[in-house]
Amino acid sequence: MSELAALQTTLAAEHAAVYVLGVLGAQTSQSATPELFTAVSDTYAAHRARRDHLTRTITDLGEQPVASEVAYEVPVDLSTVEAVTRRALRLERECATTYAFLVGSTTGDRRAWAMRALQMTAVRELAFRGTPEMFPGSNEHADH
Amino acid sequence: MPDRPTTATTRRTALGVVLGGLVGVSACDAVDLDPRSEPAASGSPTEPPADADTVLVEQVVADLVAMLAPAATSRARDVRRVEASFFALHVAHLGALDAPEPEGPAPQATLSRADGLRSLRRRERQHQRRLEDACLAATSGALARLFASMSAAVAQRLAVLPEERP
Repeated sequence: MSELAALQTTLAAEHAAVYVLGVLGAQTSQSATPELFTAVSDTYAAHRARRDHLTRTITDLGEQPVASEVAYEVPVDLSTVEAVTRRALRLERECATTYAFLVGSTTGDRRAWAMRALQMTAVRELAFRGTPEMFPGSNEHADH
Repeated sequence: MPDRPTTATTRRTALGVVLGGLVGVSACDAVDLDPRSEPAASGSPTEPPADADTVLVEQVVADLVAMLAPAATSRARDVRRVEASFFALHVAHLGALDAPEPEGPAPQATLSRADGLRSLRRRERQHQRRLEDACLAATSGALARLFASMSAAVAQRLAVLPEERP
């Protein structure tokens, strides 16, 4: 896959992440669940920033950034802290896989950016009850 | 640091396994980057020259081996548990690079809790930076991805490392 195609794929993933995190944020309460509220809010801000960065990068390459879908699938029942946490963790793990893929498809500054995004995403998993992994974003190595 | 054989066969095997075991990598990439696909240099009938990625793998393996042989560890039980978690991580990373776990004497547990944590944090941060450098230098995207993942794993453990108490 070309570098541009990998950037577009990552941007599409970030569009989905921003949407899903918006839905998750609406299910959290700053007063009732302050830690989860902060974790989701911070994660939402991080993904928005990455989405905007990817959009600028693709535009600077003279290409049209892939657009967001109208809506994305989210679990029907997000009424509990556990459900929101579980979905947020899954999202971060999926994004880690996406950024690992972007690392492998880019070079230079773009690879460095993708590498940092992978690190930050892996660390953010821990805010959603994730545990440290052996190969964040590259789990096929875990059973080696 | 224990000596480790670095024969051409070992290099070829390590990189071949790393590249061959990756998901989502095109066959063309793997063939192009696997030293086994390169013709042997004229006048060198037995050993092809090491390419840049093979050298990177060797450097990372050497660094991992060094990480498993610190001069000293902490006397504090909770710090030793954290050290064990990092050791398990480095052994898993050696496995992904098809390198064996080194054998050697256990390090002396002589450091205080604070010194043990400080030493561990410093060494692991340095190791993480070397993994980042290797990721950025890798010619193979598959190898870069593996190094990035290894670096992220170290970052996760550093994020939950306890603070040093006086």
